[in-house]
Amino acid sequence: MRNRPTFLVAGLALSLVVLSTALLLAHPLQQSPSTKPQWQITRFENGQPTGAIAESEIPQNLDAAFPAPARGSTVVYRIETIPNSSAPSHAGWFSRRRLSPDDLRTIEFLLLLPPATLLVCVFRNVVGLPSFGTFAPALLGLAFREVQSPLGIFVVLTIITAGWWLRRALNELHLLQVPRTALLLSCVVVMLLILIGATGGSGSRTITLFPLVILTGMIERFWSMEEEGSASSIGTLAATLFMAGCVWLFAVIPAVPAWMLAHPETLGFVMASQILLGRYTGFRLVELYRFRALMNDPEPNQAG
Amino acid sequence: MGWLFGGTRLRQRGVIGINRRNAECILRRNPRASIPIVDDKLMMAELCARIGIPTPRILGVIESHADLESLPEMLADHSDFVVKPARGAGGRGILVVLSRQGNRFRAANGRWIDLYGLRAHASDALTGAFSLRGLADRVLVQRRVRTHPIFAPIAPRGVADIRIIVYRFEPAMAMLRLPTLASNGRANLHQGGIGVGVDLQTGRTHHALFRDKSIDRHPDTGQPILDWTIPQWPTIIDMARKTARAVGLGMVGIDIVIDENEGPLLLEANARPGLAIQLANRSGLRRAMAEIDRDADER
Repeated sequence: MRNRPTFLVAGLALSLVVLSTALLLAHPLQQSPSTKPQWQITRFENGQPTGAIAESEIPQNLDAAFPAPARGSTVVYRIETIPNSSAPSHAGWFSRRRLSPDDLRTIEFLLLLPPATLLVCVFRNVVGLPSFGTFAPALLGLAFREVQSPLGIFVVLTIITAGWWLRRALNELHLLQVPRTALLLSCVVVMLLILIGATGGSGSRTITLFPLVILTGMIERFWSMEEEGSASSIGTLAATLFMAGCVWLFAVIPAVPAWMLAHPETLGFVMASQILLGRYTGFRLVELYRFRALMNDPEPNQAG
Repeated sequence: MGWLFGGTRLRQRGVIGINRRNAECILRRNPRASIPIVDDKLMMAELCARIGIPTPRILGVIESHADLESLPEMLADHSDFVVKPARGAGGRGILVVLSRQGNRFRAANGRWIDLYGLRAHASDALTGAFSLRGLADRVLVQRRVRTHPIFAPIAPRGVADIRIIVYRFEPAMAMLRLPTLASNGRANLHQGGIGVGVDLQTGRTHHALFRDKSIDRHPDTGQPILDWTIPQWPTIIDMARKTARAVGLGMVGIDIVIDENEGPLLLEANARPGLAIQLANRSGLRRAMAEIDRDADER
């Protein structure tokens, strides 16, 4: 009875790995020629080069492809073929060239989310760190990446500290839980807006829906956990931020989003790892410490 | 840092970790449909009443915010009681009132709380502030358990409770949890309580753990903790077995207290019992579970 599901799980993980590997290896074939620029077009104004573009097809209207030239100048276009080596060897599934920066950001976020959650799985099930919310660390870490600086951590810490004091004050008002959480969210919004104002708008990229909700949720959880003692809630907060920091460190390596964009089939490996982690029944790192007394005890001579 | 490499040794000693508990015991032995019953203290109390397991008397139930009006009436004749969210997770939201002066109540943590504060607490609990996933909840007001005087020397504050892990409907391991001054009336090990290993056959305490160290005397009273025999032990074991059968969970932690007047009372059942019991007993759960498995397969 125990063997069949194990066999199924291993088979599922294996087939995911095989499928992803196949896709990865087949990749160069997927590359459509149209995504690869073949023509380099250079514009000369009065003999001086003033612009260059690389295109896969020669545009119908060359003038429209460049900014308007200075009045009265003589315009010459030079069209050359690009040798194969100068084109990127992997255009990938999601080509940076064809996506608007906004789309690119969304797709990058989506592609980075599963590996980030895998990281959180490892921290929680193999290391044994506690966190507020299952995937709050992953979302927070990716949100830090959007701000692209330790400013993100600063913003989060400021808001949690201020929010905690606020939550303490709100407690005195004896509000019902749902409106109180809504009020807390409003206050977090006001604080974020003030922070953005203070940083002259540079912090505006912190504002995405996710982190906002996460922050409010974290304050509420932090508060309700305080009952069990500040030490454990501060510990959980520290562990959450630590995990978010690791996710951030992982996601800011430029090669990581680049790889994921070019090879989304990597998600197959991520999913296979998640399946295998779901079957990990060994000790967590923190448990080795927790149960260390049981390692050194003399073996009691009990039955069994 | 030697502990980093002690995993094999722990496994040999039959210690199980959270991952193994979740995968091999809870996912495998605990049918999902049975879990809501143990997670809801009111449903659990009803079930216990049906199968004849004694529980602390319920003085009143608050089902909705409208019921909050009846709170003063409910408490009129009582000066000490416990307010509990029915689905409170991990002992959260439990308010123990020791005494009252008019409409001011002294809580176990030493604070005074007025009727308004009590109402606010119950209101929070109703909206699910303490429940597992923030689900709307009910609140029960229970008679406060008075610990059996035999425990006075080793449980001067709070309530001593007995945790029995029942695996495949047979008791696997037992522990007595004692509150200390440091644990603020609570008996959880990680909050500074004492975990005392109890021999399943005899009900005798054989090992005690306080703050990661083996002890033989209570840190507050200096009284010896070991070699006590818990009164009415066979009754307690029987209650645990019977409750586990009734809830239908193959891996369940049963919490029992001994009241000075009413004897052993079932406090609650837990579908995800903690693993500190192994530390208190200085022994791995897996060994006990293997024995039960062997007996079950022979039958």
